[in-house]
Amino acid sequence: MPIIESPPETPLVLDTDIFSHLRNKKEYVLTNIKTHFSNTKQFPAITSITVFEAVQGIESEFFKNNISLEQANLYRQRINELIQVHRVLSFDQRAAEIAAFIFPRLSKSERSKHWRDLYIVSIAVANNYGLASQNRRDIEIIAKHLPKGFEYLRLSVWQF
Amino acid sequence: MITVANPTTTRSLPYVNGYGFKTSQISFQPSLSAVSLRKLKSIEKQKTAPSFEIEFSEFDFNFKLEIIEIQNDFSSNEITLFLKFNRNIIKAVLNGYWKENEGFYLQGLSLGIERQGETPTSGFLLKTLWAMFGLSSKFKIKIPDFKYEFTTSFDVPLDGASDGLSHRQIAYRLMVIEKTLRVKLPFPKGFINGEDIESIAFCYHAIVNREFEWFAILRNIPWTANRESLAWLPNTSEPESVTFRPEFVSKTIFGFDLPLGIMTGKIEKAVIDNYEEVKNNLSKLDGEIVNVEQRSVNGKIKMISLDVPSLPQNAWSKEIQKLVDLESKLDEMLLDKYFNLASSTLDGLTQEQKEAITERPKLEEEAFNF
Repeated sequence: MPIIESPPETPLVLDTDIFSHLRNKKEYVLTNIKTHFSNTKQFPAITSITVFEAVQGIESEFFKNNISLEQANLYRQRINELIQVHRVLSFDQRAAEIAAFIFPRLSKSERSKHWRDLYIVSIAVANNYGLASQNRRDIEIIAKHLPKGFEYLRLSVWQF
Repeated sequence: MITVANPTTTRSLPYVNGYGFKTSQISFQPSLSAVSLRKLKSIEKQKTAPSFEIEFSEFDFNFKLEIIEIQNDFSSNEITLFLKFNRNIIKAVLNGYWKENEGFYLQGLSLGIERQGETPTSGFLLKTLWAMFGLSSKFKIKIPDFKYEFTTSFDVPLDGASDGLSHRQIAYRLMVIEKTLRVKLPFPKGFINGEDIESIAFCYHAIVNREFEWFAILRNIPWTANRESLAWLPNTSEPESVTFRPEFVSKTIFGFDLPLGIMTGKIEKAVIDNYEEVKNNLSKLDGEIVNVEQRSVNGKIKMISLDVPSLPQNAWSKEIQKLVDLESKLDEMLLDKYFNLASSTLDGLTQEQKEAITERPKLEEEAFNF
């Protein structure tokens, strides 16, 4: 079984969807973070991939002229403040090796759909963190190819 | 007896466990006041030590700390107070200016930790006080001998406050373990390694919660090939519920071996990965050791305390119990700030803009044509 449940005191890293829902104050995320904090006294971590996605969202909208320079600067500053509160797990050598092992084992459509999650899963496993995600099935597509020595992903499914 | 001395060197506030404090502003009640040098000197001759009082109205809790040393120097714009708080020494630096024939006018306050007591209780008290400083929107400081009374607040980064609460939790768990198992444990100042944190959590849950989920991925269990072991072997290799034989459990914390008591574990869905091999070897009944590779399908085991001591009733003084009970309020106050910071990254945008800014980048299948 590539996926096991995350015990209550396991430090968790958020996937990008959950991080976006946190920014949107979705109640299910707030509730789960309260529980996680009560157990660990830590904010969940995020990955450098989520940093890329979050900052890219602002840059993309600014580049398309959908937000003004003042807005872009304001939201750059705010996202930076939020990121700094978190432990950011990097896509380091170990994570890169895990991702490299899995990548060729995914179909072309799986790569297209899940490439961002592939990096996030690899980072979580490389750092021995549990992953908080909404979608077990999507994560399973990646986790079933985990290399020897990293057979388990600790997953905490957070749903609406 | 308190010491009032001129400092020989200027010492900067130590950076302790992530943060010291400096007030962002001080509002005086009722007005700006001064303490004279003569007054400072006269304090030295007092029979009772002067006090440094902190009132947290949001927590309905007051602290009265003993001032054990005062350092002042005309050439600097500071008066430094050393405050005794259990086994901790807190350094409070009063920033201001001297006015001839009047005394020292206060403008700001910084706090740091001069010395941290290395017992769990001193650690718990210090971390609780620090968390209260960091999370209070305001608190009142009174130094009656100086006739100082003012309200102020500290700006603390959220990750620093979270670290403080994490250390507070560890210190409290150690207090529970000490009290229940009647042992003395240290509370190290610096880094605490993961294995110790894990053992502390295990002992705490065994004592307080009695039944708790723990992680269990793969266990290599040596079984002796005899009739008793064979009777324990499930009938099939399919996952099934397994309850382990009660056994005495001890844990090591900071190098101290702590006998915890008798516990059992229950796995809802357990599988033996080398089932056929185990069955064949156990069936030989030859007394040889057989390596059983047992795994919990969901990675969890429920640990159950059968004969583990419990935390005595009324284990703490009223004051400490009141501080223990602040846990959920401290969590809530910190999380409110965290959630507000998170939502500020989208505040002021339209729904359409929010969706666009949080849309995940896409790459078409062609991008993966390699």
